[in-house]
Amino acid sequence: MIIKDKILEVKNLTHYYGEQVGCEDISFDLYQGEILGIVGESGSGKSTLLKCLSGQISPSQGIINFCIDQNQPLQDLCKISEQKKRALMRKEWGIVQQNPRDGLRLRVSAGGNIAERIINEEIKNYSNIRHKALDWMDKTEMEKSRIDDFPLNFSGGMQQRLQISKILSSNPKLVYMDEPTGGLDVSVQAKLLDTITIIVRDLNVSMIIVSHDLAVVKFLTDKLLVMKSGMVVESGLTDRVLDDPQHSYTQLLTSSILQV
Amino acid sequence: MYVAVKGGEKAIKSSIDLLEQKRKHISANQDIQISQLIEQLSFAVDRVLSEGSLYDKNLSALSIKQAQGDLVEAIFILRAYRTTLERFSYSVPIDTSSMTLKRRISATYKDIPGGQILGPTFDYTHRLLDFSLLNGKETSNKKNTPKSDDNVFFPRVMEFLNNEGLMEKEIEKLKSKPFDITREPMKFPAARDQWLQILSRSDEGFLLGLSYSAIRGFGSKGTHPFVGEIRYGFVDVKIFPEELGFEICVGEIEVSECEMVDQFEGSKKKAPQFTRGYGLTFGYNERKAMSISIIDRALKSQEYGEEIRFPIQDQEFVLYHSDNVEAQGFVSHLKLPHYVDFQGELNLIRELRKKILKKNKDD
Amino acid sequence: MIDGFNFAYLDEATKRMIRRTILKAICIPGYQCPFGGREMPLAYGWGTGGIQVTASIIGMNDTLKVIDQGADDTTNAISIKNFFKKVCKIKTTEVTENATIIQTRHRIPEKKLSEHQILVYQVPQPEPLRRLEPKEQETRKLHAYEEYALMHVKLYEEISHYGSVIKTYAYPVRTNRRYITDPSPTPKFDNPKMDFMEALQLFGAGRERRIYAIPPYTSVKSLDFEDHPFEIQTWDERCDICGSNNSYLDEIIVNDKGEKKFICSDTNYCEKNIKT
Repeated sequence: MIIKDKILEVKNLTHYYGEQVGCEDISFDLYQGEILGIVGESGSGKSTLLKCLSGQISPSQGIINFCIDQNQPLQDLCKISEQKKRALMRKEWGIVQQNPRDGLRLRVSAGGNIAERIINEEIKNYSNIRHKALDWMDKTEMEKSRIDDFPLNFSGGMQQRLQISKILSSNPKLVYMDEPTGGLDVSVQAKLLDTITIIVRDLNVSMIIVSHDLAVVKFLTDKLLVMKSGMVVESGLTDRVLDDPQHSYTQLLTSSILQV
Repeated sequence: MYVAVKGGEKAIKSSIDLLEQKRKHISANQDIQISQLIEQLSFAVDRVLSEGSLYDKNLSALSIKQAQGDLVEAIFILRAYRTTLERFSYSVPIDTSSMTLKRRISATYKDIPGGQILGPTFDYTHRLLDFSLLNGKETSNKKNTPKSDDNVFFPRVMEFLNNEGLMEKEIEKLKSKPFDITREPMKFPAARDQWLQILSRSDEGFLLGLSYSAIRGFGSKGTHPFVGEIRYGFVDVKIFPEELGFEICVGEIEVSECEMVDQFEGSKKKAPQFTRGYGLTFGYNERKAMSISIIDRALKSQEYGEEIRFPIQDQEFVLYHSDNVEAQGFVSHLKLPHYVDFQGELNLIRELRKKILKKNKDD
Repeated sequence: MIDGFNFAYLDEATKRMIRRTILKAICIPGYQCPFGGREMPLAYGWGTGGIQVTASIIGMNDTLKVIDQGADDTTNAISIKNFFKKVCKIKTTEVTENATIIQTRHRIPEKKLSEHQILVYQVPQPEPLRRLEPKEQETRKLHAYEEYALMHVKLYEEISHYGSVIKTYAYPVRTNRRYITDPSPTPKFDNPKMDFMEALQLFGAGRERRIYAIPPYTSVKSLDFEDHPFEIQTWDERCDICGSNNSYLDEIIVNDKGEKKFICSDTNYCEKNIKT
């Protein structure tokens, strides 16, 4: 893999809920096109970390530097205005929610859902917006004929595909996925993972995926952070971490998957 | 040629005449006196002055008479009058712990210093129609008015919990000038001074329903709060004129106050404490004061970091929809002509139907 | 004037507060300025916002016209006009060009307004994004940051489902290329009149406590897509009274068989047409 621009740089990120630790002293870098996995049991701080990174909560301490413009130095997300942060969320980032219902407008058609992020860029021409929306449905292997249907009536897998179309339609630099295949049947999961891999590699978009499912992580990610009690206990290339775990907790995690 | 209907002016005049006629008794009954309303329909008078947010029993009774007993209409009339009055001063906060009590009860302690005072309440009446009232034979009854002893001090029940550190602290003093809902538009997120004022003059029925929803389970954490204390009685209203340099009492008002104890908050490290809800209204409006105290607690959900799941926890939902002058106005505006908008809808629906019917035919 | 009440009902301090809000609103065209709205003796939803605006700007020498659904003679228009006659004894008129202040509900007069006139709209819901986003805290951000994609999603949806935008009244506009504004529930037929109107346009929402304004000669564009341009309503029929074929028509049912006729919604315009 060719090393490209660094798009995210996290240093000593810490978040407390009152006096309780959410996540503590986390540092890592992410480059363009790279896919990072974060694993750990529930309560290990994965979701807190994801929320900090994606601007949903402000961390208590630490720096999150993000590449807003290739020609500019990275900027600390904790210091930019709310306006800019919201603009980034609409365009440069996307958050694929575990429950697609949280990431979709259920009373807006599939096409309208995708259109929302396209409209930020292009608001003049209806047909262009519609073509782009159809195009994205095609890429995520959805039936184009369902463009005017409401996601309320879609299956879980379809809803997740729609959510992914919606997020990717603005050509984001960075996509966060929170348990993207959680709650789906195994066969549906596999197909969805295939789709995600193909598109993401094709677009060269960077991703951070939170999951407790090591199979998902192994399949999708390049690098891995293993979290426990709010801290990163092990990190490195995914294959290395999973094949040759160093920390006892990682060993426990990998052994538990082998038993399945 | 068609001539469009005219005569709005005439129609309004006749309508007002008819309304006036409706009020005037056809039988030989006497005109109701304002003093009769104040004495014999005191709960109605209190409700109207509380929601009309103008403490004046005479005007409250007058508006009830003018509105022919339609209390929401009476509240509206009183509010519209109130808005024209000059604001000459803000009072200093009333001190309900030095209230001249007519009623004071606690559901959390059997006995409290100063004692429980049941006072006038419907609570233990049997709701049987009293046919003896039918013919208005009632004689004036002045004997049974027990005097409450002014010298007895009635400490607040919540203070006992507070002193032990079991109760979350009430804010001592506002940092800035209190919000004034009669002078400023609503702001969000709203602070407690804003919402307590709004609730104090909100529609009693709406508040009752909301608070009921919370204790049935559509509310924040605690589903069953405890009445720490309910007080009803008189308090002095004082102002502090800068030029005088001391407080002067300008009158006395009746208020109802409720303090509710709710379930505790805490975490592994923070010691648990009870939380509180507070409600105060003009007049004898106990049911409403209780409702407010439940809603007050629910509206603190955000501050406590509780998940906002139900209408009662949602500031905008509660505060925007609780004022009956606003609510009745907007609901009733649907009676106004909407010919123009409806014409737009008519044209559109015909257009759309034409398109589809034609397409179906072509297919 | 009636005993116990100030000229135009509101006390002078309140009027000043409202006038300051109006000035602010004029400075930021289309921006909804919060104001300390007062209770009025007419019900919320029946024009209290417009009445407060009118009461704050009206003077002894003004001539007031009040219309509802375009007509001077509808009950609520009469009622509001009577209110002002009672509380300020000013002149009133039905003739559009003679009025200095025109308070309206749901229509803009057909006759072109001039610089010497102020059009006061009664607004039930000032927030054009409210149906898409119920939270005030969020809609204020959407305006502040110019995040208007949602509004276009709505237009997209309507075109996708019905082949065209189906909003027929309160059709959203962009004021001065900045704020998306609700034109109040006037039919979209009236939207083009707002663009570069010579008269000052003031909008009062009493229940929601907002005032906004469109200064004279300000750009007001109805939202659309270039391949689905904004269009106004048209009728195949003419006005049954004056024969006009270019005014907004109301449909009336004239007999038990449900036969229909169409007449001008702007009664003063219709009368003028008959005379000439």
